[in-house]
This record gives sequence, structure tokens and C-alpha cells, in this order.
Amino acid sequence: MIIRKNLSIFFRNKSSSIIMVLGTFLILFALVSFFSEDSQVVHVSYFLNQSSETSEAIISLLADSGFILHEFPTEEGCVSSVSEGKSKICLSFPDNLEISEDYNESLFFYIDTSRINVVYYILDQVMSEFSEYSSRQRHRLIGDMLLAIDNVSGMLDEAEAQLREVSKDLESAQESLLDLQSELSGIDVSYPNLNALNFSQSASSLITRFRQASSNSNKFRRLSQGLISAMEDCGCDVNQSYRDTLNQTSVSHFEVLNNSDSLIKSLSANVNSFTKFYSDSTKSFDDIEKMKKSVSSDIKGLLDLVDDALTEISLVSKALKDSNAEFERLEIRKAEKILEPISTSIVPVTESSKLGIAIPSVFLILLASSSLLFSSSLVIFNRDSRGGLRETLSHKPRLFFYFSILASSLILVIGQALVFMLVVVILLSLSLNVFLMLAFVSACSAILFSFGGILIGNISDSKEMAFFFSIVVTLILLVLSGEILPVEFIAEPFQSLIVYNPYEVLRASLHRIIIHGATGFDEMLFDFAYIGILAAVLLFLSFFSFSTFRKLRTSRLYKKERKPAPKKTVKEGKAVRKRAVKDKRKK
Amino acid sequence: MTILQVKNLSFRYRKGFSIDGISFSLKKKDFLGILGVSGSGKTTIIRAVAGLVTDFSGRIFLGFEREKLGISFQQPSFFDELTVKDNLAYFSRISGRHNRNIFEKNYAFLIDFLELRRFEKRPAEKLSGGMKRRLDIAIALINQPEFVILDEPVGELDPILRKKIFVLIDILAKRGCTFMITSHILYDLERVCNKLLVVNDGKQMFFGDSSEFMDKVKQTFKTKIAFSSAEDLNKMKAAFKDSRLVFSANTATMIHKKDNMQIKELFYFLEKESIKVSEVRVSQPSLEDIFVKMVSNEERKE
Repeated sequence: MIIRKNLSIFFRNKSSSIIMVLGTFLILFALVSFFSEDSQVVHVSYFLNQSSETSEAIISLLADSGFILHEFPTEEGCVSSVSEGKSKICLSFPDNLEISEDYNESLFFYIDTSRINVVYYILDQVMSEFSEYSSRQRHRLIGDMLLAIDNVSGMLDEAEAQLREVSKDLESAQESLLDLQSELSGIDVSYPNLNALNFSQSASSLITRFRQASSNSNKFRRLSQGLISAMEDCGCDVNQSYRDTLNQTSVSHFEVLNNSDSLIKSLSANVNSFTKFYSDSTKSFDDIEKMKKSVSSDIKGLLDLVDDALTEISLVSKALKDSNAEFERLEIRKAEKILEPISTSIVPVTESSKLGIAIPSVFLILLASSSLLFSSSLVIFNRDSRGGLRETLSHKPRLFFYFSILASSLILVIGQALVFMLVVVILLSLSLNVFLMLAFVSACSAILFSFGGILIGNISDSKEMAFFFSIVVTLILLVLSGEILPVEFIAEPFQSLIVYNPYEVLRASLHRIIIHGATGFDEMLFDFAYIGILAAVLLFLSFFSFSTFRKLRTSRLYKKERKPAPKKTVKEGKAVRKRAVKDKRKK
Repeated sequence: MTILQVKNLSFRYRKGFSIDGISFSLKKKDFLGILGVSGSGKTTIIRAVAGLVTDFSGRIFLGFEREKLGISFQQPSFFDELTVKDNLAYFSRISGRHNRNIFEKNYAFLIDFLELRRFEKRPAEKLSGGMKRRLDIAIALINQPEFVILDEPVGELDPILRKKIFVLIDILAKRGCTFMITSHILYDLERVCNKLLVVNDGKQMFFGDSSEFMDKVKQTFKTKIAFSSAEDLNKMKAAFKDSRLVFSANTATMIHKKDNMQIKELFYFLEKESIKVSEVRVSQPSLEDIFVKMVSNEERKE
């Protein structure tokens, strides 16, 4: 009943008729645009000065994907084909396009900004071909890089292990050298304390003395013999025992000396040979001393070398460790080359005027503007009607009237959307699942924007103001979606807002459904969660404004019905009377 | 059984107009007439009772359920885009007391009694002013309310319809309905009201039995004397300059009680001075005249 009442109010109102006409125009406009664009046959121009394997691969990919390609000998000619409307996009290939780290040239897309929706639709298709190609290149590059990383990593580990071995060897060599050096320094190669020369001289003197003694002994023996004989001859009374002892001693002495003579000779010979040998040995010790010095110097040199080597090794080891650590958090320096092997630039061509619109965008514009306009109008119609005053006296809860407006608005919007959806489904031969998804997203959009419309209706003073606000909100949503202006043209601080723009979120969902035939929520789960949160916030705000402003507007309606300035009349009456009394008194 | 009690009701609009210290009470089957010139605060009192004004001071006690309230506003209040029947059906449905049988019965009675049958399928916006007023009254009465508020119900109606509306009100009053009607025409209320509330400039001038007020009114007369010459008029002005006599271009008017001394003095003076009068008219004063008198009495007391 209440919905019927709302619809009656809506359809009998002149303003709503205008809205309906506008909405119908939008549908017609969308349908005409859809047919006129002939989106099944897409002409793409390209300019290729010096071909390469990559550019040829891209061209053949595009040709295989059903694009009708036109080659132009000059870039100007290619761009002109876009501005003249002969093709949708002009691709300008750089010379010798290749995928390498050093290659920095871009692939240029010349597009017509006045046909931005169709252009982006086609661009999307072309880009999907590119992305497939890029994907293959990306996989290859990533594979190569991972292999290289593995190899380098293995080699680094190996080198590090090897270096550790070398370091260990060198350390043990250093220890050995130090031992050797200490042992070498412990070797005493100075002349022995024995003075061989003195020994020789002493030996000679000894021999001489021995010889002298022998001679002296001989002399002594002879002397003794002479003495004995002298003693015997002299008849001196000399004890025979003395003579015997003397004789015996001189004989034994002589014998001893005689015997020692051979020894002395032998000693002399030995001393001579010793002296000779000693002389030779002295020379050898000099040589050893020299060699010791040379060996010590070599050892010192070696130690210095080992020290240097160890220092070097520690540096190399540190470098290797750093390299390994660095490798573990290795950044792919040419990431942009891997993610986007072919760099692209979009260049707008602004001469053309023929307008084209892609279906998802048109559909959403229709849903958004209709929802905002219908719901805000219904709020205003109900509020401004004197019947609304009576509704405030009703004991039905406010929520009841709020949802009746929402339901009426949804019926109107979905009625419009249904016509559009059916046309889209028939023309694009979409499946039932896709149709259901489309209906679901449409309902979500209609609900969300209807909440917004109710809020606008409540804060607006008049139908005109609500209409104005609805259009402004629609335009803001459009501008911040990259639909009217490409994202690059929007001021940088606002570019990030595009992500949060519900219009853009819903448009992307519709795009996935209509263009790519998405039937699941997997890809769109977060989008719908976001839309759900936004809808809850808008529901709260719109209901709050509905409750608050309804009260205020009711009192305004009451004020309207008061007759003009009654109090003033009474006051004037008093004033007139007082003046009359005063006049009387004066008279 | 008290069905409505208003104690010391005060309310101030942002622009300055206010009602102040309104107090009255009604029993079941009472018929209250709220009398006052336009802008005196009648509608504000109704708004407060109907619950459309909440930020007032004072106390309002309702001895009935709000669903049983029927109200007809000063300006017809319904959806212009809906037909007569749809409007009646819609407001019956959202009233909270909708009963299909009662509705059908009441609908048939009201539409015939108020002569709206021919227009039941016509959008309300296409009805004449009188028809709109009738439709608004029909909406107020469609659910057999126990308490009916009618704000200037017969203001724009012709005498025949005015009479018809009062017949309808009589019928409903006999069924046990309590009424609260505002009007600025005393004799509209005189016929039906047993209680009268008189307000002026937001202040309560009188509340009590209507007979009490009417007695006061009936003992009051308005004497208007038209003079033939300006000379005579000036003589009168000079003689009665401090009196209640109000002079205009060539007339002198006085509101007075039946045996008022001043009016006797006036006629004595006319006779004595042989002043020629072209016309002497003695009549019942209008409500506005009574208010003027009441206000001037109040001022004198102050």
C-alpha cells in the first residue's frame, strides 16, 4: 500500500517525469552507443619502423586475437587514423623492441580521450594480449634469474668452504713456520768454546815437551847411568839401594818416555789431522751461519706472506659472508623489466568527437544516477506533501516509512535496470549465471546509491536542491573513477581516492561479469565486503537524517499553515489604539 | 473520566511568538471549542496535544490511546497525487487501527454523507477547496476515533456544507466521541460546544462552560451611531474624550453591557444637545470586538 502510494506520488509528479525521461534517454543513449560502436570488429593501427622478434610476436598475437590491424608507414599517419575515427588505438612500436635490461624504449598507445570508455575497453583487450606475452617473458626471465641465483649461491658456498680450508692450511703453515723460526733461532752455530788453535799449539808444546822430556829422560838415563857408574867408580860409599832405585827409575822412566814417544807421534799426527779438520769445519760453520740467516730471512718472508694471505683470506671471507647475506635478501634489480617486460605509454589523441560508451560504465551510471535521483525525490515528495504530516502522527515506526521509500526507489531503479540488463544479456548472449550475477551486483549498487539518495533527500531543502546534489554526487563519483578523465589526468592527491570510490569498485565488478563472464565471488569478495561496510554506514547516516529532518520539516509544514503575521496585526491594532488615545489626549 | 488534561502549557517559537500558561481539562464526551482570532495560538495548542510539538513546558495528560486520535488540520493534509479513496485507505492503514470491515462501513458512510462519492477516483489535487476540506475531515474520522481534533473545520465551507459538517459532528458526539474544535467564529462553536477555551495572543482568556461565556457575550452590545455632520461629531468627541467611545470618520461606536451608564449618558447628551444622528445600530459584538474589550479591560487593570 505504502509502496503503491510512493509510486503514485512519484509518477504523478512533474519533476519525477523529467527524471524518468532523463533515465529513459540514458538507456536509449546507451543502446544507440552500443550498436553504433560495432565493438565486435576492432581496428587497431600500428607503426613499426624497425621490426624485431618481439614486435613481430606482439603483432601476430594481436592478429590472432581477432583485431584488424593496419600498418602505417609513419607515426603521424597512425595517430591520424585514431583522430579520424578509422581505428580505436594506434600502437607505435619503438625500433628493435626487445626484452632486455638495457632496453628502455616504450611502446606508445595513441588513444582518443573523447571515446575513453570504448578505448579503455579495447585497451584492456589489447593489454590482456600483451599481458599474456609479457607473462611468458616474465616467466622466462624469472626462471633465468632464479637459475642464475641458484648457481651463484652454490658457487659462493663452495668458495666459502674452500676458503675456509685454505685459511686453515695457512694457519697451520703459519704455526709451522713460527715453530721452525723458533727452532732455527735456537740453533747455535757459533764456534765452539774450545780454541782449536790453542789446542794445536798446546799439543805441539806438549809434544815438544814430551820430546824434550824424552830427550831429558834420555839425558837423565844417561846421566843416571853416568851417575851410577860414576858412583861405582868413585867408590863412594853409596848405598846400593839408591843406585838400584836410580837405575831402575831411569830405566823405567826412559821406557815410559820411550813408550810415550810413539804416543806423542801419534798425538802429533792426530793433532795435525784435527787441526786440518777443524779448519775445514770452521769454514762449514760459516756456511751454516750464512744458511741459517738466509733460512731465517726466508721464514720471516714466508710468515709475512702467510700473514698477508691470512689477512686477505679474512677479507675475502668477510666479503663472501656479506655476499651470501646480501644474496639471501637479494633484490631483483631489474624488477620492472620482469614485471613489465614491455614498457608502455598511453598518449591521448583529442581531436575526435564521436562519443562511445562501454556497457558496464553506462549501466552503472544509470544505476547510480537513477538510485540517487529516485530515492532523494521520493524523500522530498513525501516530506513536502501535507500527507507526510499525517504520516508523522501514525504509530508505524519511522523505519517502516524509511524502508518503504527505499523499496519504492529500488522498484523504480530495478525496473529501469532490468530493461537494460535484458538487452545486454540478449545482445551478448550471456548465460543465466552471468545474468544472476549481474542482477545481484545491480541490486547491491541500487541499494547503496539509494541509501545515498535518501541521505541527499533529507539534507536538501527542495526538489531542485536534491536534484542538483544527486547530479553533483554522480559527477564526483564519475570523475574520481577515471571514466571521464583518465587516472593520469586526475590531481595526484585524488588519485588514491579512486581505489575507495564505490562507483569504481562496482564498475570493476560489472566489468568482470559482463566482459569476462565472471560468475563467482572469489575475485570480488573484498570489493563486496567494502561495499557492504559502506552501505551500512550510509544506512545509518540516511536513517539518522530521515528521523531528525522529518521532525524539523514537520514543524516547518505547520509554520506554513499559519496565516501571515497575525501577531503583528494584533500589535498594530494595539499601536493604532494607543496612538488614537494619545491623539485624543492631545486634542 | 478525564480524557485530556493540560497544565500550564507554554511553548515559544523561534521567531518569538509563544503560548503561555494554558490550562484546561476535558472529560469523555466533552466538546471543547477553542476560540481565538487568527494567530492567537489555537493551532499550537492542538499541535502540542497531537504530539507534533514536544519541546513545550507544562504537562499534557492523554486519557486515550494515540491511535484513537483523529485530526483534521487547518490546511487539508493528504497526498494530492492519490485519489480520494486511496487517501482514505492509506491513512486508515497506517493509523494502527485498521480493520477492513470497519473501514468499508465508515468509508461508505463518510463518502456518502460528505458527498464525495462522485469524486472517489479523482486525484485529490483535482478537488475543489471545499471537497478537500471534506476529504480531510473524512480522513480524520475514517477509523472511528475516540478523540477528534478539528482545526477550523468549516472555515472555507459554504453555509450548507458547514451545517452538514456540524450535523456529522453531532452524530459522532452522540456516539461518545470527545471533540476539540478551533474556530474564530463564536456562533459556530456556540451550537455544539459545552466547554470553551478562549485564547488571545498566546494567553488563556477564558476556560469554562460555554454557556457561562455565552451569557457574558449575550449581555454585551455594540452600539454604533452615525452622525450627519462633522460639527456634531466633534461635539461628541469633545464631550466623551475619556470614554470607551471609539470614533471613526463619522461614527462613534461603543461596546457595553445591557445597563451601562455611559450609554445612557450618551443618549441623554444627544437629546440635550439636539445632535442629529443618521443611524443608530445596536447589535451583538463580533468575537474580535469582545477580544478588544477584554484586552482593554486587562490593560486598564494593569
